Amino acid sequence: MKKKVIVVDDFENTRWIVQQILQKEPELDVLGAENGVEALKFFNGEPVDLLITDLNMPQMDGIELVAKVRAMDKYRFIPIIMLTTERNPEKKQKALDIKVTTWIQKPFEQGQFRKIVRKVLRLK
Amino acid sequence: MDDIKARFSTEANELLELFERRLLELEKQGQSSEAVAEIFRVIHTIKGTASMFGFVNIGKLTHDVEDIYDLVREGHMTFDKELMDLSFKIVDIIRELLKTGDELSSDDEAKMSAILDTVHQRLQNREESGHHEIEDQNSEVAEQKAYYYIRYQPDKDVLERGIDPLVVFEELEEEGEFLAYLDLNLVPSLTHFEPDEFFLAWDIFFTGAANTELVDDVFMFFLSHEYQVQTFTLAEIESLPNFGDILKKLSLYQIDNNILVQNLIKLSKACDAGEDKEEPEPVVGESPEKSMVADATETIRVEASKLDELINLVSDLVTINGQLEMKSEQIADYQLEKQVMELSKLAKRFRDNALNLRLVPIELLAVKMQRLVRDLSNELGKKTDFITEGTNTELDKSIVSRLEGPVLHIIRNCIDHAIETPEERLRQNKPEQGVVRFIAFYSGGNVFIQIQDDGKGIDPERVKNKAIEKGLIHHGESLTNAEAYNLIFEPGFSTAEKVSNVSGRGVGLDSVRKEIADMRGQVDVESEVGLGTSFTIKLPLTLSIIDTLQTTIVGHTVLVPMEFIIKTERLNGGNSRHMSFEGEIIPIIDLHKLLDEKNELAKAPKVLIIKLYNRKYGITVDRIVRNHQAVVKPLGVYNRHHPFFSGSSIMGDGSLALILDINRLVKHQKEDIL
Repeated sequence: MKKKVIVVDDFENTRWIVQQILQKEPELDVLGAENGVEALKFFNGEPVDLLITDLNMPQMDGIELVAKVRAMDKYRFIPIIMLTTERNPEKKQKALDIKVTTWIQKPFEQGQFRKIVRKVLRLK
Repeated sequence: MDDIKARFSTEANELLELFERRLLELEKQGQSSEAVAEIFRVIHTIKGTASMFGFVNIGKLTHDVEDIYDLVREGHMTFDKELMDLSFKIVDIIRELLKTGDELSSDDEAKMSAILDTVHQRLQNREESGHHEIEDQNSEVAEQKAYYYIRYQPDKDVLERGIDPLVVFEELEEEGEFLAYLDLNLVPSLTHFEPDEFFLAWDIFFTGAANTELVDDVFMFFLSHEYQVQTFTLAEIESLPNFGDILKKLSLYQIDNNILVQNLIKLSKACDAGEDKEEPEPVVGESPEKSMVADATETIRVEASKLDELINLVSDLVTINGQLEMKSEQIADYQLEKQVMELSKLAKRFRDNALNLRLVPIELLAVKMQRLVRDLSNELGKKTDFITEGTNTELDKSIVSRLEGPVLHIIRNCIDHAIETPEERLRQNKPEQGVVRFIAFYSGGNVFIQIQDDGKGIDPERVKNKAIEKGLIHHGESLTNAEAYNLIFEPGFSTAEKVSNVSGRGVGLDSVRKEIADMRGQVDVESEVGLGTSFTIKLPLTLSIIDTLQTTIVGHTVLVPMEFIIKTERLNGGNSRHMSFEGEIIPIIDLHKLLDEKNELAKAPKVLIIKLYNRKYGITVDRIVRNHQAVVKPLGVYNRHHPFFSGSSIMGDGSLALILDINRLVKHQKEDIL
């Protein structure tokens, strides 16, 4: 059974690169969403195993999306990776306060990114 | 990129290819001082010249990297897995820099600094291990060994962050040896107990990691206050700042200072034992000069465009020569005919020689294939050996470069879908390591390439079922196995399964067949369930000359590639869509109709029986003229995608003839019927 990963970023290129990186992992099924509203639709369907989301997005930002997902009974303990260009530690702290598993600073190194994702999903 | 940079770039790329080839060799065959020496030499050469040509970043990178290979060459460092992976990354980044003219994108910059970090790490480790050797002689090994004490106390909300706090233990286990003592003091009374909160903590002693970074890595998802790390040696264990507290907690497990120290010594021994097993033998270096003498065939570098120009000129010469031949026949002057004949001979030899210049060994693809096999196998956790045969087989340069996509696609399929995981293979009594074989050879005027694997094979029944599912064939349609295998090349066959999946590549084997067909080649597959699969690609030696049968159809001169024709027949019975040939009913492709809608089939035209992928077809023509060796010219921009002509040729009398593309014609016919 493949693990389902949802990537949310309003910037198409970021979604694309994340998908490019993760599609090398045979255990993963990666789906993209442009914003929080789109992303939430996935959480009403088949089970999701990991959410990777940008912090700053129009319509619904990463923080709101994470809160909404965590509020669902099914997804209280889902791993969440936050992508951010934010260098501001306060904002980072805020992301941690809303309980994300970890955050990855953009731009990221591919190997490191894959490693983190594998680790979060406990793939050997 | 300016001229100077381009010049360096070409040369450096060739060196890198050598470098990569040697790496693959090392990985496959184990230590070879010759290979290591060459690897060092390549980096050394690039280092020496890069900055001179304005590639400052490459110069910077290779400067540090060189030290590593120097150590390996001198036998002071082993060529282990990490160094192997690092080396491939180095090749990739230098290639990238060569392509961009030394411009670093932010992505590359990250890659480059990651590489340099590892390089520095290794150089530093080596210095440290040098110190260790001296310390070892002090006979207080365990006392000097570095330990980590980790106070691990995840926050209460750790579960809600999507983290499993127990995973760190699995990872510590992988990296070294540890002792963990559970601390239950934080668990609240039942009245205050919240099932979603986390109240456990541990005191962990760990050894084996080369540095604190590794520990940080294990605790990557935890905040700095959730795990506090202190390094210590046994000699100074009592000086750990909170040692009293720790001992107090351990007393619960009846562990005092002495027992703890003894346990830690055991830990270190267990750790050393584990390390020794994996230690590879060092590579002993030799002087690099030895390997530099080999391969002394003298070569001249020529720009490919100059060769193309030469081929064009030769083609024109051959065409004009043909016209001259015809004219001289008409004049019927013995002297003239004799001289023209001499000229013809010369022109043909000239042409053959010129075409030869463009032939390159297919070996150019080998390194890329090998790299793909390596990387993909690693990624998918499979073990695959890659064997090449006949890589000195030569093909037109343009064919070799166009072949790359299809060949890599097939190999990717082999590893992805055919080769089983090592466990699965063992279960089936197959050797743990799968084999992908790449074989090239000449036969007739063609080059054959076979890509074979010893994987699970293709089950024709499954192919049929899937084809029915996709609507490619009808239920109950009877197909031979060969016909069933052919279905995997149909558009829409292999892609649909992955529609929901971004990781699907979106292109199937149909694109492989199309690409090969565009080179006037064919690709076929044979398979045996459980034993493996073999793809066979048949290609012409060159794209610019082709043996054809010259025919006329409703006033047009049409050239039919000879290799497809198995027989010519007379069509009796006229206007039908099928004919009988050697006891078989085969479809007729009515070229008359395709060329001129209104035209009725002539009274008794000729039929060419052609064979494509084991299926025979009849093609109607008015007249068969003679054999003709055609110099192929492209059709030009507007007609490039003509449904069944793929090229043109100028005939001896100066008129234009069209070259029939059998692959396209059959496809067109099928679509027409549907």
